[in-house]
This record gives sequence, structure tokens and C-alpha cells, in this order.
Amino acid sequence: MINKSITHKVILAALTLLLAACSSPPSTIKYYQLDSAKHSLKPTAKLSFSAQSQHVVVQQLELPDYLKHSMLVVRTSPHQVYFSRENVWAEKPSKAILNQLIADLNATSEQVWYSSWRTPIERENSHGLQVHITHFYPTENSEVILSGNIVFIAADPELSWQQEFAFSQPLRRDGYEHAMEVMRAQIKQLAEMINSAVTK
Amino acid sequence: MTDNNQEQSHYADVKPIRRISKIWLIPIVALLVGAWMVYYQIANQGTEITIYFSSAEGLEAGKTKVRTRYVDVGLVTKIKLRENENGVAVSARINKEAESLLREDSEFWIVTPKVSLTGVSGLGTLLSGPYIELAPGMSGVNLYQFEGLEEPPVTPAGTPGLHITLNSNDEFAYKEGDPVIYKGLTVGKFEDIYFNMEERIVYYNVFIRAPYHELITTTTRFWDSSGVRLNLGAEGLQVHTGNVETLLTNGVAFGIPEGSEEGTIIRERAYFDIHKSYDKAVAQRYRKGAEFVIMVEDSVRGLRVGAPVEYRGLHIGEVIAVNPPNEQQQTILEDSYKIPVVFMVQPGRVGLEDNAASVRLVATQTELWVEKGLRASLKIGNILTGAQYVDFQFYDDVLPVQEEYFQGKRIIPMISDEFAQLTEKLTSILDKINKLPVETTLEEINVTLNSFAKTAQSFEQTGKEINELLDNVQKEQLIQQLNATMDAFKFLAESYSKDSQTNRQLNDTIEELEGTLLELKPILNRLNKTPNSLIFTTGEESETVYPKAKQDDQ
Repeated sequence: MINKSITHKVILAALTLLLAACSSPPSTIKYYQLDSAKHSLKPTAKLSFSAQSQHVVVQQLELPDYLKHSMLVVRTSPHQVYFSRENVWAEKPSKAILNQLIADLNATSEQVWYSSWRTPIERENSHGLQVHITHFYPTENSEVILSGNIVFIAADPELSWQQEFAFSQPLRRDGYEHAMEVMRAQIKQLAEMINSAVTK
Repeated sequence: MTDNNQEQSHYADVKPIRRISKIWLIPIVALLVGAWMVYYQIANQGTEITIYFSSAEGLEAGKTKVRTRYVDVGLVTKIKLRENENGVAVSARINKEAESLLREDSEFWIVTPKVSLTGVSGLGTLLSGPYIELAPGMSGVNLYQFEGLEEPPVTPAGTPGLHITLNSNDEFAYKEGDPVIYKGLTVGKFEDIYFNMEERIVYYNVFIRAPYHELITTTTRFWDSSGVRLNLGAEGLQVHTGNVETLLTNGVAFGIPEGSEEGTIIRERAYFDIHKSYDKAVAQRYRKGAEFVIMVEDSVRGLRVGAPVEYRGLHIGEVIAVNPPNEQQQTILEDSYKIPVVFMVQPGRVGLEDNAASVRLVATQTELWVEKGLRASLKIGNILTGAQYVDFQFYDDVLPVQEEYFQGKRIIPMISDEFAQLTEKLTSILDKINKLPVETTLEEINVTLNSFAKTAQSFEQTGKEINELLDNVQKEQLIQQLNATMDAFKFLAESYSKDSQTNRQLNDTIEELEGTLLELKPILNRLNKTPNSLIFTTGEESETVYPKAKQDDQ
């Protein structure tokens, strides 16, 4: 009887170890946000616009599909991108990009007031702006590229225009953390370019 | 014996005398006994009587018995047809001890089973056969030949009571055995009926048994109480009946009318009339009356002989003739024919004595009252039957009338009855209506109606307009409702418009869903390729692809 009981316990322990061997190692997922807290906590000047100020509404921000889900991507070849399973966006990329773009536009401009379609403000003679981003990721060439075009829809249709843009900025460190910093810098660069074009 | 004496003379002259033999006593005694027996038989065989019947049905010689009070007193000995007459002669020998029952007024009848409305009798003879019943007489004269009765006598001979005779001109249908009733008790019976061809009157012999025969006095009245008598007259509906027996049969009741004297008790056969009813019998006592006449211009339908004459509701007399034949009067064919109605005011009904002096007093008083305004009229006493009566009333403002007579009787002036007065009033009203300007009024009514018709048309037109207005209002309401619906729809559409909050939220949701699907896509592909990767790792320890810094050296 005693030998039989010991045998049962040995078999049970062996099965437990076998199942434990089959288990996967715990994976670590990292979440990233576009804007840093340090940058957000910076006091900003109060923006006020007179009635004569131009009002530009960002009517549309079109992103590529790989920026519509939370996984961060890296271009590994000219025609291949890699979706990281362990490095994901902490927020919706479209929302984060739009918010940063509006913030940068208003921070850059002193004459033009930018708002997005999410802001329920209507003024007469407002202009429209559509931003179409076609590429926005780190590449195998250790740089971050941002390209696309903007369409300015003036209150006077004859004054509307369209302009391509393409920015490239090298990565100085490895990892997604630095890549997010560069991407944030490119948004600011885009804002400056837009504001420059609008106010021109 | 002669021969013996001759033989004895040859031998001696003196011959001894021989005594008669004693043996001869025996036949002598026998002879005497036989004679005595014959005499005894003859002396005790009873009296033979002869009874004549119309038929000897059920009778048998030597078998049928003669009985009295259910005691055998004789036996039928011989039955033969009656000589020279119809019927049979039945000889019967009555026992000697019953000879005293054979009187002049003794009655014989054949007892057979009999069932009638008044009862059942003779049932015992169903088994024993018929017998002859002897009703002993009370007369002192013996009789040995009798006329048998066809029916049993209602009253056995010798029954104490009183025999009276009633008569009537009416078509009553009494028969023997019908009851005579006093206060509901049957105190007598009809015995026999006799019709007097000369007088054309039916006489009924009635026996009132003791002690009720002492109720018959000189003032007693008899009246019919057959069945149930319904009288629907001027005085309303009256129901009269005698007792239970008279519900099935006929009968008469008697009594002394209320208010009459009792009179003297009658001891011998007397004659009485049978009255139709108690009222008639009572009225009979008012023999005297002052007669008057009214000349009726209206209808006398419903006014019958015997109808009451009333004064302020009191019954003071009765009508004794309606339209009596007369020579003075005009004929009915004339336009102004007035129907004479003769009535009398009876002193006995107004508290006076029933005699000639009272009649004169009533006549005088009535004439005096006529001068003071007394008038007669015919009134309807019963609406159902239309029976009328004569009513006396005093009226004010009546014109004096001349004293007129009809066949020697004073004519009491009449006034129209209430119905006639009502008719006159109605006629007057109708005359007034006739005088009304009906045609003018009708024309005005026509004009008014035409105007009314136009008004109605106008009203109808107005109604149509109102309907149209209401339709328009309803249409406007419908349009308003449609507008409201459209506004609501517009608001709903705006809610989902391009720049709306809802639209943005919807787009965001769709984008999130799209992103999630995009994330799931490589995972699903991987699971499709290596399903166990959900549990087991693929051997890749960590990602090797990541953004890499630019090498300045390169």
C-alpha cells in the first residue's frame, strides 16, 4: 500500500514538471506615447485671436493603415514593414498625431488660429486644411521619415492650394523610445512647414 | 150398517146397540188438524196486493222481495201485463204483520242502482237484484192495489215538515231532488214538477223538512240560486251562489228580505214565486211607488227595466218600462222622437211606509222638487257594460218647465248627462277650431316652412364649409406634423452629419474596430499557420527588429 501511494505522487510531480516545461516565458510589452510629459507640462502662452485672425480648421488627417492599430512598425526594407508585438502605442496614433499637430501649429503661428474638426467652433471665412500622411515610421536606414501632402482649402476657393512634404531625420539611438522622440520632432517640423505655407 | 140391522132382525127384536169404534177418532183428528193447518196457512199467508209499474225490469216472481226499511215484508208472487193498460201488474204477498203498512198513501217503487248529481243509491242491488221498497202510509184507510212510483219519493211519507208550492214564469230547470237552501243549508228538496197548460206556469212542489219549515212565513221570498250568478250591471259586478251542491245543480234559496217583518208562520201548503235573484226578491217588497216619466232625447242603450233610480247616490226606485207602447207618442221614425222611460220612486226605499198615502206624498214632494230645480239624467253606472241608471240631482240656473204628463204620469224634466255635456263641450271646442283661420295659418306655416327650408339649406352649406375648413385645418395639422417629423428627421440627420459629434464618435469607433481587426490579422494568420503557438512559443525569444541608430562610421 505504501509503495503504491509513493508511486502515484511521483507520477503527479512528473506531469506537473512536464506542463511547466511547456509554458511560455512571460513576454514584456512596452507602451509608448508621442508627446512626453515633460513637454506637456511646459507652460504655454495664452493664445488669443482677434476677429481679424485667420481660422484654419484641420478637416481631415489621413493616416496609413499601419498607423491605425496599436503596434509600432519598423520598415525593414523598402517594401517591408515589421509590426512589433512588444512595443505598442499607448494611445490612438491618429488622435495623438492630430493633437500634437494642432498644438504645434498654434504654438508656431501668431496670426492664424488652428483647430481640428473635433473642436465645435464655427467662424465665417474659415479655411480648411487636409493632411494626408503616406509614410511615417523608422526605417532600416536608421532614420524616421514623414511624407505626404497637405491640401489648403481657402474660404475663397481660388486661393486653395496643395503641397507635398517629405521629412527625414536620423536616429541617434536604438530603440523605439528614441524613434518616438524623432517622430514627435517631425510632427513639429510638419507644423512649421504648414504654418509657413498658410501664412505665406 | 143397514145390512147388519137386517141380519139382527132374524134372530131377535131387541138388539144390543154397538158403540162406534174408537178408531174413527184418528181420521177425525187428522181431519181437524188438516183443517186447522189450512186455516192457519190461509190465516197467516199475508195479504196479497197488486202494484202497477210501467216496467217490471229486474223483477222475478218468487224471488223479488218487498222491503221496508231494509226488512223483508213480502215477496213478489206473480207478474203479468196490466189488462187494457200499459204497464205491468205485480202481485206480492205481504206478511201479515206488515199488513198495517198497507195504507192508502203507502208508496212502492223499485230500487235499482242509481247514480246522479245528488248522490249514489241502491248499490247493494247490484248483487242482490232489485227489490220493491214499501214506504208505509199514514192514512187510516187500507188499500191493496197501488200505483208504483217510477222514482223513489224525495220525501218519505210521514216525514215531518211542510209542503209548499213554488211557481215561476222564468225558464228555470229545476228537477226532483234539487235542494232548497236557507243560509247555505239544504233544508228541503224539490219533490215534483207540474206544468199548468192553461196558465203556462210551472209549479214545483217542494218539501221543507222540520224544523226548518217554521222559517217559512208569509213574508218569505224564494229566489234562484243555481250555479254561480254573475251580474255585471249598473251597480258593478255581483257574484251570487248557494252552496257547493248548487254549484252543480239548480236550487232555490229563501229568506226574509232585510227590513221586512217576519210574518206569520205557514202551517199548510202555500204558494210562492221564485224570483230571479235576491235583489229581485227584495225589491218585491216595495210594491208601491209613485210613477214618473222621463223623455230621453239621447240613447237609452244600457238602460234596462229594473235599473236603479238614484238620488244623490241613494237607491230610491227603479225603472219599470223603457219605451212603453203608447198611442199618443210620435213614431220612432220622426226626428224629434223622445223615448219615454217610466220609473217609480218607491216610498219603502226612502223610509216611508209602503202604502198609497206614502205614494201620494212622494209624488207631491217630487213635483215640488222639480219646481226647485230637480232634474233627471241618464248616467253610465258601469263603463264595461254601459249599463245606465236614472239619476236625480238638483241643478242651479235651470229654466222652469211646464207641467207635462205622459199617459197620466208626470214628466220629470231631463238635462243632458255628463257624457252628453262633454260631447257638447267638445262640439263647442270643435266649432271654435273650425272657426279658426286655418287656411291663413297653414299658408303662413308654408311660408315659414319654406323659409325654414332655405335656412336649412344655408345651414347645410355652412356645414359643408365648416367641414371643408375642418379638412383644411386637419391638412394643415398634417403638414405641421410632417414638418415636425421632417425637423426631427433633419435633427437626426444632422446628428449623423459629417461634422457632428455622433459622426465623429462613430468614425472613431469604426477606426478602433478597424485597428483592432488589423492587429488581429497577423495573429490570426499566425494561428492559422501554427495553431499551437497559442500555447507554445515558437522558439523566438525576443524581437530582434527595432529601430536602430545610425552609425556615423558607416
